[in-house]
Amino acid sequence: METLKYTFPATKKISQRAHVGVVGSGDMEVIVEPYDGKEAEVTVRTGVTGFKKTWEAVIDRFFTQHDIAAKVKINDFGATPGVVTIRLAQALEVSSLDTSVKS
Amino acid sequence: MELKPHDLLKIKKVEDLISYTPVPDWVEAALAKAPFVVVRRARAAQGLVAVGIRGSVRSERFGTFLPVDLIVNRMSPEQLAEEKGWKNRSKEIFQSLEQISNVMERASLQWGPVGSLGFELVSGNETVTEKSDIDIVIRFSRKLTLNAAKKIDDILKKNPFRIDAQVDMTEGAFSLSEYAISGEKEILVRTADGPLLKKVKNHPLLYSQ
Repeated sequence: METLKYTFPATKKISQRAHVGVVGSGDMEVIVEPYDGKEAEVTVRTGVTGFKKTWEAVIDRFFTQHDIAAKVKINDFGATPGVVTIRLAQALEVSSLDTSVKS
Repeated sequence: MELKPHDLLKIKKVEDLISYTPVPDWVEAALAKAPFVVVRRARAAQGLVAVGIRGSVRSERFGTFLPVDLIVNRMSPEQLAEEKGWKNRSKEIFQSLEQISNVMERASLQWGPVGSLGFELVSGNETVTEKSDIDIVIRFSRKLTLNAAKKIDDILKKNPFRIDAQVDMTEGAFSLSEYAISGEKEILVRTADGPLLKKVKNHPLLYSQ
């Protein structure tokens, strides 16, 4: 088990907690929680070691594009970079939903 | 012969594989031990099939290609489910496949073991470890309504081993658990062109009677 931590400056707030993804081979679960600070704190726990550089690239890209103030926890079960990006986008969508105006 | 993701293919020799990237050192040893590759969900040039090689640890996975006419033998997950080879395996985890088999039969769903259990059943090589999950694939059909998925997911969750059930449609695959709780929401579907978010609930199969 490897734990990776990243911090990114953030300006945008999210409205609610989100928990998406699956505990399963080639997948991951991600929990996103609103945070009062001005940063995104990302913690990745993965059972597949040796992909630190890939994680850094994928996480960096996502949180540079989406500067949300949040605590983000990822439990990884061997997700590919494509799956990681989709799961993060899915979590962002759920966490930013304003339920009162949801179409 | 229509090849599907998760099919296990026997190959003659490592040189038959066509790789566009450097082949890791562990690949040759892995294939010497068990000359099987698994069909990946990815596109391949005419006459080739995208396959993956499994090493001894989880970080050892390698994607490559195999000319279709060099396949020695093909085993689908459904064939493994039909053969019930798990009855000859002593490890406790294999006995769960018998229970899963009963659940799938009652639901009239086509299924089969994949991942490490499938690999061990086909190759006879010790692949399953204490950390192994039970990976299975279920073929999508109109029987798999949201309600049916929920019921099956609940039953599978009661198994002492963790069961990872992927539902396979022609156009992609998704997680049974995620589908079961998705309601109106989009879920992750893995396609040959990569993962995307999609509402499976509106799938035409679920409306045709």
